[in-house]
Amino acid sequence: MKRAALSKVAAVALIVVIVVVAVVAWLALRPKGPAVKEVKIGVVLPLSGKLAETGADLKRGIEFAVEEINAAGGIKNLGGAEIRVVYGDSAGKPETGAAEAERLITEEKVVALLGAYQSAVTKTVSEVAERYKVPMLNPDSTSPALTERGYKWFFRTTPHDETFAAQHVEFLDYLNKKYGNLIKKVAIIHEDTEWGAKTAEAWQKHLKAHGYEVVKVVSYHAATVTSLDSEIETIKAANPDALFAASYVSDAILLVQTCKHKDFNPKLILAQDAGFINPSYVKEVGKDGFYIFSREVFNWDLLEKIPRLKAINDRYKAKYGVDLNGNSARDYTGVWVLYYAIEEAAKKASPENLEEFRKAIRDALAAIDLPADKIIMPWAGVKFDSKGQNIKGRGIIVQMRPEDGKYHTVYPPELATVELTFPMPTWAERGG
Amino acid sequence: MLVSLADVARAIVSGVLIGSVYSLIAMGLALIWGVMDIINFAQGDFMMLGAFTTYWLLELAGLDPLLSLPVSFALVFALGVLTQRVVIERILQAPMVSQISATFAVLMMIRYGAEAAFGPFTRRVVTSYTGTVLRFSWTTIPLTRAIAFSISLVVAALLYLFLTRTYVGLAIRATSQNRMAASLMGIDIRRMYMLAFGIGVGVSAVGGTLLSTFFPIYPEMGGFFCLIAFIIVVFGGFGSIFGAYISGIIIGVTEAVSALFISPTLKDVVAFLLFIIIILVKPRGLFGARM
Amino acid sequence: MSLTSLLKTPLGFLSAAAVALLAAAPAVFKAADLPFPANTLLLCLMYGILAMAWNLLSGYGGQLSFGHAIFFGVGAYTTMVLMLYYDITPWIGIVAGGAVAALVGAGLGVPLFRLRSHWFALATIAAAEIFRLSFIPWKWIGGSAGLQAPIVPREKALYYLQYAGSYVYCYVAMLFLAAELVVLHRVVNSRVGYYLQAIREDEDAAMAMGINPFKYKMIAMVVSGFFTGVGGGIYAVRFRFVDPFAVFDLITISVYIVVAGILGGMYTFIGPLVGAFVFMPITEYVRVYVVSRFPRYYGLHVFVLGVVLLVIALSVPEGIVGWLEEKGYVRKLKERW
Repeated sequence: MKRAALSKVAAVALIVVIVVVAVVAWLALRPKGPAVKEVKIGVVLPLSGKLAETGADLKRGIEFAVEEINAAGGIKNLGGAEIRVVYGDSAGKPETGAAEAERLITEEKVVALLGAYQSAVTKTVSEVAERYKVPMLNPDSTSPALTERGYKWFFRTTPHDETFAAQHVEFLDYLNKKYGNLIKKVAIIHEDTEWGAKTAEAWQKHLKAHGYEVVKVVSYHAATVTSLDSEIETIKAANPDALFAASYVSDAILLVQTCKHKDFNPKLILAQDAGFINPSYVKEVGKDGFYIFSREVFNWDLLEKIPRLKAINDRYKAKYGVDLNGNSARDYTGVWVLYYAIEEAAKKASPENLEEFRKAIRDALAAIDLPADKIIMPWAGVKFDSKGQNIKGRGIIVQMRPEDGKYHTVYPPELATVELTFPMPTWAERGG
Repeated sequence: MLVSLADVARAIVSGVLIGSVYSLIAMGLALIWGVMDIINFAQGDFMMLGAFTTYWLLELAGLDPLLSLPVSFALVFALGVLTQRVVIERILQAPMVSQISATFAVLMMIRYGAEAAFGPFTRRVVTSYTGTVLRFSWTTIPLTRAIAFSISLVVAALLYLFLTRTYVGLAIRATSQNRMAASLMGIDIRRMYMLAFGIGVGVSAVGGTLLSTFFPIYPEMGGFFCLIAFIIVVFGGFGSIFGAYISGIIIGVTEAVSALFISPTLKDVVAFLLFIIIILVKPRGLFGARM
Repeated sequence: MSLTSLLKTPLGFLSAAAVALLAAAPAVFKAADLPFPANTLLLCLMYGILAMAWNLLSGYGGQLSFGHAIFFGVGAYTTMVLMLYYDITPWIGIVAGGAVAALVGAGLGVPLFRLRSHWFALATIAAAEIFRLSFIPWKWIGGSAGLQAPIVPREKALYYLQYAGSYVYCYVAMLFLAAELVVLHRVVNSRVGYYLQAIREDEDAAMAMGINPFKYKMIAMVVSGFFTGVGGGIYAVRFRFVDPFAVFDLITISVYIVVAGILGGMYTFIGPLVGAFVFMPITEYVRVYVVSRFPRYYGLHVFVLGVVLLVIALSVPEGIVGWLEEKGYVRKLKERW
């Protein structure tokens, strides 16, 4: 090698060394933050992309909970330190969610993660959390598989699809017992992502176990569906007594419209949450949505019964113009559960030692046992099993009522606020 | 499963009804493609703007979708002319890839600009006759879809007459057949391109307006409709307006019938497969003649 | 040619410095706990691999593909399935993913190469949609739920290629990128490369000269498919999760590849790599910045990306490297090497 070239090699090496040293030095000597004034929670949500609408809803619930906690004096065991939320946008994509989780954990130094709604994204986000040993609270993903992975840092407050499916079938039993055996044959229509597909599987399993006949299962692709005519035709031909539906927003609207113009009159349409309880759906479906049942995790009329909860919803509505719903209320609750755990953890560790503090939060979550009156959800409370699943959660069943076009709780009976209408009136009976 | 003749008939009717709306979007695409040799990736998003124009006119001014139809056409036409002046004109001579990246950029700006402005929410256009259904002994047809079908026929006929009976229409076609010769004949090519692009996206906007009367609308809705429109245009024969109309209906029927016989989940797979087979077997499309 | 002669030119010197910096970057990011820049770097490298592979078929060969997500998805799934179902290390799995993707490419080439220009482009979109929609109901590989790898104990990290963050994967990607650069450089500067360009310029004329277009397009498709599949394999091990929606995505895989390729300059050798290194940081930082500043305006960041893309498409349609070559700032790589 010639001398000139050699010196150039040396020059390259020198540049690299200088840059590396400068960057490392700058990073090492960065001014450190002052004593604990705030505790950061990382939230990963679909804030852009196809599910941005739901993301917006979830984010409101989180924002609102944080404001309430901070207004009430923040984290008392940390001298009133405030909770601050740092958001990561998953864009609805598993890989982006994972990268955002890493950023929140290592760059933003959050003490815990919360999110991420879509089960596929929650899978990768929680994998990152597990790897970095950061507690993750998942208030809003319902894939049963999430809590079957043996993770130690993952906690889910919401009941999952298996629980819901079982409850749906119990509801059928309840109807058959109370109103005479009207339902024997059930058809299922579902969108084909993991959520819809797994829900349909669980439905079939529980329906068969309870002696119902599943006469037709139809799936469709929500992102590209332009018409559900043929789908409803084939279902109508199978002549089911009840239709179970798992849909997102626009396809849920389309589904109801199609049932109407095809004059398809099952005695019961029972939906699995999601699209059917989305504010856009409720706003846009109009009177065609009356009498349809949906599984819910939460409903506004539960708040009406309890003054403390009504006050919360009134403030929420004053701020955002909509009632709390299953999505926003679950994430609202998630923040509170995390808050209780942080208060507990603060007794044993300080956020200055991040690793220890995260571990303390994890332990606090694992040991948490919140009574029903500490949360706004219609659950018996919050207590996690060894898999991280809240065993005190349950769903409710609501029916959209013609009186006010809102969903009202009808099941379980002890939470019901109105008498349900069953069978659903036919389209002809409703007129127009 | 047993499929009766009535099932097939119902599927065909439903396919024709949705297909006629596909057709409008595809006709706009075909016009632009035929005249300017540009693949407009943003076609579905101009359609979405048509749908949202209808929605907002109804919400804010109480204007019936049928009355807002011309407004929707005019607004999107104007936006199309603007797009042509600012963007398309500069890339006409560029390689195909530059054209594609430019129209793709327009797609991103329209689709996500709309999402930023209106929010990602799903909305519905509801009028007094939204729920009205025409009942026949063997099937039912929502009034809104029947109206959409009729208007799409009228629009297709008007477009056909415009292109074959008016001076401007003939000039546009002349431009599409031979740019140089048309220019020598004293046709203002630039103006023809502006008109073609404006009318092309305007017709799709009419499709959006009609669609909005029976289909929930949201800012990202254009994506799949645009994909379908591509298939239709290639299927019908490059640049053939008439072919686009007929094959739009064929695609709609294919979807509906394959949902009946195969599986609803796979109905799009069938449509895409059919598309590939058709262009392999008849690369000029079913109606391969130029306009 | 030797390293010493490369270092004599200013451009060679600069690129050597860039390569050295690149090699140091993941380690620096790791030391400083900066996962986000590291992940962005990984995306640059990964999309660099994809865009360069795409460019062989679409740039040199002129066969514009909007369906490269097929190869990406097949590579990702192959790597994952081999690891989860057959306990085969991803070191082999990534290469196997490339091989399967190459096979798929050969299979698709048979019907698709009968089509030209726009028709080919649209057929690739349709083919990619068929793949995506067919993987959704395919239960054996997880259906719509996809596949997730379990977390393995630390001592098995090397075998299963499981590390926290993107740092290690940056080096994995660099390794494959280097291999790709060598292979593509050979192909492009061989008879295959020249014939491909001849086919791109005028297929009929090329045929008249006795070139068999089908054969050379096929070679391009297979090589292109292989490295795109490798990119998918890297994605699968990095995120340890695949599902049909993520890996067969029309926009974030197929179209991003095309955008990176066009942006960098599709008639140049190194352009697509440069394009990926410009485009991916823009998308990532615009997303993070805009979403955190203007959270109420969903989609605003994609709008901003659209504006950036439009400005580039209108002002430098030949791509960054193409523009540099035209202006004479850099000489064409193939002339010099």
